[in-house]
Amino acid sequence: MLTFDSKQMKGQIDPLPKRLRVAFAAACTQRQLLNYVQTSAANPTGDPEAVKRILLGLWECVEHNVFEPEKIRHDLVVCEALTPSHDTESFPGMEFAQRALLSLAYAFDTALLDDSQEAVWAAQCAVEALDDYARQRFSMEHDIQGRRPRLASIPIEQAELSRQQADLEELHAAANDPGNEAAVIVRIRRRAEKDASSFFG
Amino acid sequence: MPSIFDLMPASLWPVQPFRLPQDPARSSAWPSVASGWTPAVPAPPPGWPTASADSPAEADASVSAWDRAMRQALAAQSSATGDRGLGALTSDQILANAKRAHDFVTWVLGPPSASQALPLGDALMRGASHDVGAAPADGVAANANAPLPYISAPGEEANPPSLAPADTDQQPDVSAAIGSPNIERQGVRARAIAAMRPPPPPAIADIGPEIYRAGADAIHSINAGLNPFSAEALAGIAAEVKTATPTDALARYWENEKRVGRGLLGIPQLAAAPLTGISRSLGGHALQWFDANVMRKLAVKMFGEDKVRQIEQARGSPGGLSYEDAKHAVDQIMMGLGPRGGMPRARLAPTTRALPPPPIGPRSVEIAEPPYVDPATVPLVPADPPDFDSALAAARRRGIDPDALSARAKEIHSVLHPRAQTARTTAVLSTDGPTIIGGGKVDLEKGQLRLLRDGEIHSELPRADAEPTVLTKAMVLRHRPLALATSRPICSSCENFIKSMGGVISPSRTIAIFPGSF
Repeated sequence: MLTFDSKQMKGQIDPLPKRLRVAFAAACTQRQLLNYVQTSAANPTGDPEAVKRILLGLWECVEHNVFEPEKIRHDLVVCEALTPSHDTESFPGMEFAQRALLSLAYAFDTALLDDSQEAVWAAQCAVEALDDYARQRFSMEHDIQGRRPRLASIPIEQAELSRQQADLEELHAAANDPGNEAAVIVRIRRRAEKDASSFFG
Repeated sequence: MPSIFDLMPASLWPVQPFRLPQDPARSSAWPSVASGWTPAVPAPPPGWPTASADSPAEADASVSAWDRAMRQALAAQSSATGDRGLGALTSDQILANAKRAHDFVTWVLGPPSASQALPLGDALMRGASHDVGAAPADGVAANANAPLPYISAPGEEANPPSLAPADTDQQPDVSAAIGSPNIERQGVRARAIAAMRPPPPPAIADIGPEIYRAGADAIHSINAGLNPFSAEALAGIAAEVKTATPTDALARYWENEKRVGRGLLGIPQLAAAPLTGISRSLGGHALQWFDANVMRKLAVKMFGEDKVRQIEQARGSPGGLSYEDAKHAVDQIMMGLGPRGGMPRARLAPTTRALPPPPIGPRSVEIAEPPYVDPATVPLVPADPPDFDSALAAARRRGIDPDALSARAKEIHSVLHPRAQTARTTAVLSTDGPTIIGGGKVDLEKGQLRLLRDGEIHSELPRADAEPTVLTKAMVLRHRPLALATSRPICSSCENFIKSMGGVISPSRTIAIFPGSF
């Protein structure tokens, strides 16, 4: 059974170059993109096209290995403006839309900062979304102490953890073979776009 | 010395009016067609005396042929004894009483069934005349002498056996009456088979006689109690004539009432006669067997044979319980098994309760007029809530530390990753029960839940702010809120919600105190 260990994941991401770290965070965001798009109709501040556009721009930066800080900051501001927060009127799926854009913001942070922690948080947002979804979907109650039952064994969460590990393995392989990085990035992007439709099972 | 009843007019005596009893010997007194009640008297049962064609006609034409035959038979019997005059009168009375009893039973139970068992079975059923009154009681038709096929018993040889019991010579000479050797031979054979067959146990064999006795007792009770011309009723009337004192009259009246009651009780007894007979036979024999084979042996084993015999002799029941005593015990047991509490009471119809009209009409929000309040003495303006400082002081006097709550909220909130901390809120609510912790917009994450300690519970309310999330949990658990701390300033909508619950919000808008709960 796989569990989300931020320290272990950070140790896996640290050896990767910036390009591949951003690719990992963008793949985690790509799989959550539909969580934002599908709730945009009820989101008073929702703009799915803008989110698609800035995510596509990030993938282009990764594929071309060109990170323009100004453009990234601009897109990050747009992302933060669209992120539902405590000031936003509540709407169905708000928690999932928020996590999707938080993950996107961490992907931009990964591209801006020379740190692997932001990529870990991007992956953590995806796992937390699945954890929250499973709790709401199956009405899992907490015990009298308020502690949540163990949810790590839920299949959709295990599937996401497996995908993250598969991405990291391929990225490590690409890191060892720099000439193959572009092909690996394209393959991870396509796979993330495909897995987005089955993110919640 | 004259008694008080000699001085009192006879009309004031506490007795029932006396009516002279009708002469039972006078057949004209018997209910006739003119009275509207004609007992249907069918053909007399077989074996009863019937009127012969050559009997002389009676002078009284109202006497039926059946009566005449009975009278002739009784007169002949009395003439044999010598005193014809007295015998005729007695026979007339006996005959009239018997006829009334028969007619009354016929009136109660209906005419006897036409399919009464005839004594001769097949031979008669094959073409003999059914007019028993015109034939000898034990006779059969002359044309019944056709040879009947021999019916062999299973396992028996084809040759008809000439089995006959040892007392065959005591059997009536059937061949002389029937004239058919086949019938005679079959009769002999049937009796032989019956003699060889083991008799049924007495508990089974006595069922029929017991049913008969129970039914006969019931019919007797009905006749004695409900037939006004029964011997018991006439004896009661005769005794009533002889009453000289009111006490005697009252006693006679009570006796008559009891007799009528017994007659009424005889009707259900008659209906239950089969059950009574079966229970008497089965239960009586079973009880007798149990007493003789179990209880007596047990008593002998405990006290010795001599002692038991002494007790039995003193009780008058040597050898144990007799069958009659056992039957009596069974009757008492059966009476004890009856239902208690009388007839079940019929259900009462639901009663409609008259309720007072409500103070509010249907679909109306108008309430009855409120009580009068003098504004000069009672201010209608609600009291101002206490300021935050006084509420904070009161909370600290109660041992509530809002600063510790605030620190706890920040501690749990800090587990979130930085961007989640910016987008979410964490609230900690102190109550008179557990401390409730919840998140705003997004419920607490796994990392936050791991920080919960004993006495702290988690609250979930998806997409709601943190303040309503924890306050709703407190209301659901019926705990009173004491103080609330949040990780970020309370929004305006949450402020209204907190104030509606009596809370006071700090100037920093991160703490709320509920002084009304202290």
